[in-house]
Amino acid sequence: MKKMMISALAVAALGLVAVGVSCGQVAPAQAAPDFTLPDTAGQMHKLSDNQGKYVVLEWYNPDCPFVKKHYDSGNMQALQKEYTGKGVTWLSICSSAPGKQGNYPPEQHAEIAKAKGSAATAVLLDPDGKVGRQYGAKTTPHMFVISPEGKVIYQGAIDDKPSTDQADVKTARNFVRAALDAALAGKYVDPIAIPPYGCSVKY
Amino acid sequence: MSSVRLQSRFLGHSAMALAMAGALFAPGAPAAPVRGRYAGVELAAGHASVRPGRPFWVACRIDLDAGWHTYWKNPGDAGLAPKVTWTLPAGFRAGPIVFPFPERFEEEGIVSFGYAGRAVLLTEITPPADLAPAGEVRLAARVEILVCKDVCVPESAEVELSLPVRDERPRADPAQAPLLAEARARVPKAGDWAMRARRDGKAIALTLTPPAGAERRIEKVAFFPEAQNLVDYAQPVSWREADGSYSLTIPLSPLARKAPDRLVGALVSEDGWSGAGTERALQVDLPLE
Repeated sequence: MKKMMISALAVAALGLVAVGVSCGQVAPAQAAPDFTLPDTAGQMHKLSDNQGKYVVLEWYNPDCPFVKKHYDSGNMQALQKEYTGKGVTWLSICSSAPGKQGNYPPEQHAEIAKAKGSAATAVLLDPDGKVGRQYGAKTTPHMFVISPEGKVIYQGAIDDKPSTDQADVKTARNFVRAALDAALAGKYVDPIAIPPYGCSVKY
Repeated sequence: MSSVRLQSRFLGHSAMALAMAGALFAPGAPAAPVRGRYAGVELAAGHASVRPGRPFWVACRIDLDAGWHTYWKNPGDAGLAPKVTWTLPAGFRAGPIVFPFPERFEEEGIVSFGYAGRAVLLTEITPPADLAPAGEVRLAARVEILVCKDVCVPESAEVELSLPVRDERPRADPAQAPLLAEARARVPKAGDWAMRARRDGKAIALTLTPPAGAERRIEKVAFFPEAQNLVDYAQPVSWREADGSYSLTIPLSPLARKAPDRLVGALVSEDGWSGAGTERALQVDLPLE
């Protein structure tokens, strides 16, 4: 009789999730996790207060070269202005932990955003990374587009040119624009998820 | 055929003098490494000359300051794959970057794949068969990488290498050949294992069987997928042995397409896949059944 030897050898951990920390992930078309975060003036913003509106979440770290690509070129601000003008709520979220790149006191974040000409509805501060982890935000920028019914209809890269080169902005296909334009016209959103590119979120 | 052109906008004066000296007195010697803020970059060839029509390997060697790393072809959750843009004489062709297997970095749940200390990126270059076997050729590249520690910095280096053209079997360059040989040994190989991959619910099941009669003991593996948004990097894989065959269960990312059609990546073990001391990385490239 053949003896079956099943020995589970060392389980090679492909991922060592840091102790005490769990990373969520929102599957496509899943409900966007609700959250409440303060903006740079200390005012609280609750995601679910935006029911009936499209919402863009933009993970943000002003010192990351990929974020700089989109702000120094004026690309991010132009998107913010265009779509808030169409009734979209645009929330920039900074999940940088204290002591890490991009973490600043609220007043300084306000100054930075103003100096950059941000046209976001608000810049929200998530220094304990709770909301970033709920969403599985990995990079800055990392974009999420949420429907008026509260479903994530696009998540991932801002565009199709992963680089720090400002010149790429002009020729790139912008996925946030594509998702919002399609959704606003009642059409299917495609693609629904593209791997994001950027600096790691500084949890 | 071009003569050696020593004009380079990004090499400093002394580096240019070194490059000239290198071309005149030590054919095949790389030009001085180009220093960025946190990395030095240079080109190296494993052979001392180029033969018309005969492909040869060139290494882009990136030396990183302590604590800094750069990225594999799939950088993982964050980061950026390296990009090399070649300027070559007429008729020359450069292949894609060939990557040695990476290591895994993880910080606060964010996983990336790449290299710390030193990264060696390989490219195969094919000279035209009608290249005149005289003088030298200059191979130039713009190397764009992202180097990260706690923050990320894009670096760009213009590097070059000149080699004499001779219609003879190129001799190995003893100074550089070991660097290339080591890097090539770390490039994932097809190997001689029989492999099959299938979708199994929220995971991919990969089975591997060594050739009949081969005693192969693989204690532990790591899998590096080439595609993004396919594998859940944060979840452990499980590696089991059953009656001489092995099975690897790779959790899928919730963002994986409903029907991914292929599994492509590097399967890396501490043990050699063809026996002790042999290649540590197996190339997986399978349809998903």
